[in-house]
Amino acid sequence: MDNDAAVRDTTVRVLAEVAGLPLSDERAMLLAPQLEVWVTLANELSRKMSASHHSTLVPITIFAHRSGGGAR
Amino acid sequence: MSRAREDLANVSLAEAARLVDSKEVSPVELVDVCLDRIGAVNDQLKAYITVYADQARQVAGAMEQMVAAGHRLGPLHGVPVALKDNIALGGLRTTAGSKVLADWIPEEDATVAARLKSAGAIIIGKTNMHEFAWGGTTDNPHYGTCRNPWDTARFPAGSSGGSGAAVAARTCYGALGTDTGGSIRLPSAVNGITGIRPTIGRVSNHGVIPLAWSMDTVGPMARTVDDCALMFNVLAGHDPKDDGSQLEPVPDYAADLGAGVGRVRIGVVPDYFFHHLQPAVHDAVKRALATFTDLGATVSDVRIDNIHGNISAQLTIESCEPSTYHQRWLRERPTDYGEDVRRLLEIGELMLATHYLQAQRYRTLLRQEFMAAFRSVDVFVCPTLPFTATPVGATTVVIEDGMPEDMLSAIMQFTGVPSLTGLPSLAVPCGFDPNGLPIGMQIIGRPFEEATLFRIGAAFQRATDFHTRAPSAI
Repeated sequence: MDNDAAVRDTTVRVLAEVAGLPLSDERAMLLAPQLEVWVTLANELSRKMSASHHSTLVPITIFAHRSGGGAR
Repeated sequence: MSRAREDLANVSLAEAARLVDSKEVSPVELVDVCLDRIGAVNDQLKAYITVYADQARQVAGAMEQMVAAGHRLGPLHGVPVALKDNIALGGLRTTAGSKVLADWIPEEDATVAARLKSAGAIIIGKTNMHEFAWGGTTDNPHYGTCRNPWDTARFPAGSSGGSGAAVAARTCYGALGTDTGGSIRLPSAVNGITGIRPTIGRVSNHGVIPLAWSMDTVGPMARTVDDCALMFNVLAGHDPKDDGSQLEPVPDYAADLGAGVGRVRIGVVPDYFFHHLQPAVHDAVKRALATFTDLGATVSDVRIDNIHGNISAQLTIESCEPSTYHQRWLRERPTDYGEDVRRLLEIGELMLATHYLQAQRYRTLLRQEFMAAFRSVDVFVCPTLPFTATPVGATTVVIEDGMPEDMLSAIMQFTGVPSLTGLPSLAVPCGFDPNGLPIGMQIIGRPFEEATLFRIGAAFQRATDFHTRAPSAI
């Protein structure tokens, strides 16, 4: 797994399209540098967690909350 | 039944409750004191989004009559407190610091608000916050930039910055905050007050606008540990309206506040929590550890091998979950968000599911390592954040070597650990930097052992006076 993520504004536009998120070119350019930092860190963590000695670990979270529904 | 108003503004929540109970002070006087203070400082601090002046006076009047008739609703009878504005009050506007919810009127109280009211607290207002709690500065584009009462050119941290500033500025006797990645502990530290992030599931989240479901908590912020324990007695416990709340027994959190720290085993993680922080913060927390040793505790180094990586996990989870909650609004009303929050929500949409789930698996790993460490220590002590209050508007911070760092990553690097592991963490004032700005430490404990944290924090406050000092800037 490659640690480095080269995130360009074109990458942001593709990801946004996949997510169905309307995003202007200006916003794609704005997001790219920060997304690159976060994705690089996340890839590093993914590599760590993919190690065989962590294979039995399951996600910690059980989603049981119903809070805040009234605001929608 | 009168007492100098300045004196009354400076008493603790516990003392205010005692004065009402003994009929030395009326709830009406306490409300008037708080409203006077709000009137004097809120234009400058922007600590409150909404103030319920008329309603608070009416409730106080009724409570005064109840006291005269020998009736007391509960341990907080007649004491004015404030709520962060992501906590619902039935029939009253709850904005979450946003334009999106600027006109939202909840139908019912959040469980924590109902519990405070049932205990006799008077809700005096709703406090300013980082929009939707997604940020650490409380630089709110819709309701004003909240400022630190110790130096109004500096930030109050966040996201519960309004609650922190409101308590520090003596405009209320306690407040509620919410904490996902540090939002109670960070403003407690930089405003020189006390606050606790509870164990996940200890306090109900029902009626609270979520940030990240898997890490959100509600907790008290006040001037002293004793005050927080008194509020926590009211807040803690199972809530059938919140499936995430736990059925753990609720002890009396104020019972052992004077029991001291003899034989308490304190762990420190020197290569993480005492690495890369401002010298004044390092020295203050080290002095606090020496104080604990003088009081009879032992301090030992502990290795947490997997602690590095927590910031990425925090950023990933805290971006993906809010972006899920906000998905519809982000498409329908993107320009109603402030620029910083909009950007974070957009980025959260672009992370991968594998990133998110690996971050959730990392939480299991980190928690297992802490739980194993709790076999040899009772609590961990560390700084709340590595720096003191930064200038208002700063998006970067210099911690050492003149190198600017991204504010969001830097501010959560110590508070994120309890957030990810679900452990309780008490933030306690432990010093001041050369500019007179408050410094805070965290005391992190085992799940559902908040009473131990209160006991240790209370012992520290009985031996020091940092928590008694009031800001002079306002």
